[in-house]
Amino acid sequence: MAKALGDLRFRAPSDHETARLVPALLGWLYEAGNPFYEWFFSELVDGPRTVGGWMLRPSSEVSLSRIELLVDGDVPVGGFVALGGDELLACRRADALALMTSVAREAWGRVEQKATIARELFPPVESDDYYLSKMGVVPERRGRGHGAAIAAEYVEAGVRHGFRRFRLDVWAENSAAIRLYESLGFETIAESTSERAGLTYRAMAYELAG
Amino acid sequence: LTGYAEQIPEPPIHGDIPGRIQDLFFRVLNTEISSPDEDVIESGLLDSLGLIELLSELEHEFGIIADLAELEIDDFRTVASITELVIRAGQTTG
Repeated sequence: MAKALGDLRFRAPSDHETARLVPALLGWLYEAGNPFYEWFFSELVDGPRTVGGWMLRPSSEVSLSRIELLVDGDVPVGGFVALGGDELLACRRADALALMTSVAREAWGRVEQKATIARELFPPVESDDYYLSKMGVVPERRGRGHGAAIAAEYVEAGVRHGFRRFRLDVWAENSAAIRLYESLGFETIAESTSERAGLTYRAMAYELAG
Repeated sequence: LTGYAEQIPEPPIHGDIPGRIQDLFFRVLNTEISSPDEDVIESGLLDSLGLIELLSELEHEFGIIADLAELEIDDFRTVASITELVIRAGQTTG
């Protein structure tokens, strides 16, 4: 049964609002990337500032152009970023290059170490996977089922784009998110721990029947 | 004599640049690049970690400092385009 959303609807950001959207979206988007983001960017760059900058880069995984907003009237209350496996690979390459350009050369070895750990934490995403990179709701609107609506819209968007397999990585301690994904049919396909990062992530997948 | 030798400027990048890049690819990606025009971006061989490793290794191997502001993903597409990148960086670094 479709959930009544009232004045809520999904839409892409429009060109004229991009700059003002960064501060409005960075909070939940950065939180969705945590605790990985905080660990990954620490001792390298200012994490929120870097991700905010990436939101304005069309080639970034978190580019505003890839965000599907959940708006109430015209107020963004959450949203998600999802992309196909090939596009994800291209975006992550572009973000890696952007990161290399923003740290001192002496820190390159550190970036390399962290990227190696990231590869251990997050299993590969296949070309025909529709990958949920980020999803979130602004803090003052939580507990109203918006998360479920966003996750369901992500799957519907994937179906519209012709995908049949859905993939995401979630922090293993985020049990609320894991329950939500399980309620949609996602199953855990791997759990990876990095002792060095002190992080455990779960890879989850869902495949349409038939 | 030793002190004198230290003042001799580094020679410009020479030798078989594409061959050295191919060797470097093998070290970084564990993959044999069959032709200088093989597209490692299109083929998905070069992921973000591979790109990070490749860029550091290129600077190390050739003693260059790439102009990061000018770098594009396309520069890393083929052995041929990376050769151009190395030559370009060698000119400005030297």
